Amino acid sequence: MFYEFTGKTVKEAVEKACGELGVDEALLDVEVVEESKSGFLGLVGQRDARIKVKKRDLLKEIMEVSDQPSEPEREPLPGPCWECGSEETSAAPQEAGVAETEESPAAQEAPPELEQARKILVEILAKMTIEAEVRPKMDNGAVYLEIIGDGSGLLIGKEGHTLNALQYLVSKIVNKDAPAHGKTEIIIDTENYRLRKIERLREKALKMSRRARKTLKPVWLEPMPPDERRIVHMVLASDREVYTKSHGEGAMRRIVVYPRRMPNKRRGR
Amino acid sequence: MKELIEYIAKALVDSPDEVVVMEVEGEITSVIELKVAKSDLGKVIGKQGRTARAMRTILSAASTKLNKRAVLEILE
Repeated sequence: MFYEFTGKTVKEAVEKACGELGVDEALLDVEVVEESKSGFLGLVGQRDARIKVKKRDLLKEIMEVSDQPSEPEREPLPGPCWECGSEETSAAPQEAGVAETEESPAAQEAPPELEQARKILVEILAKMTIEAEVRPKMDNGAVYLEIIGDGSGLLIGKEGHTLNALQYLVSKIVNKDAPAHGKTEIIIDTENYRLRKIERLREKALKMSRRARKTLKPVWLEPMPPDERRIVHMVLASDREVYTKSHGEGAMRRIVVYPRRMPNKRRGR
Repeated sequence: MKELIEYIAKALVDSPDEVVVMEVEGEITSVIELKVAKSDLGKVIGKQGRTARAMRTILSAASTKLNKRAVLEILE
């Protein structure tokens, strides 16, 4: 379902969209229909920017799939040694399999970015003297590259830093000349790290929601990158007792979980 | 390690011909010096140094594997 918005600039239109739909920018798929034109002296030929937006739901689908077999309270996930890449990755891989087969039909034809991104990653890994295989596929319009390595966790790094660095650089190279809204999303994964991360974030989000409801005070989460914030927003979007907002700029941007029922006001928003 | 940084830097910048990478190898720690065209400096550093940080992260992962350490210096 697409909604259309206009504004003096694309940014303004996006802000309007977020305001009216009541969701964070991270949760929207934005497509620029028309860039704004300032016109002559800002008088003649001025035209507003037009955008089309759609609420994103790709991660929600993954989450619904991983929802079914587990209650949120339970499922402690593959132990504390995610970093060391153990073989016992219990339920997660099978769920990943389900998500793969059910979600791909829309994204059949592979764009040139897929092969380009794969090549770059293979090249970087080779130069890091890491022997690994890269399996590319399209996932909901995003390029998804899975690294099949020795499972040492070296490629994940502390808190996923190395994996994120690889993903960031490959995406930067692939999207070098792409316009601001025409960028291809690149996801690099290994040993199912991303899916396990989603699970962990989901649990954290639920925990913070419980805390907000109990204390009736806003709960601040630590700064997170956009994709992680998006997951938290999505998990709590269906929670009727809290709402979420992002505060801060850039790398310091963080989510605040607000209880809908505040101590003095009868209903907050 | 030199090739790693050279490859990434060349892919990021607009003038790959002007990318120069030097490696000063030490017993444990080696220093890798990266020089790019002035107009490309921002490309290898990135917003808030994010690109530079990503390169350093990958560099340390790669050298950890060889039980070594590497430092990336971007020369102006």
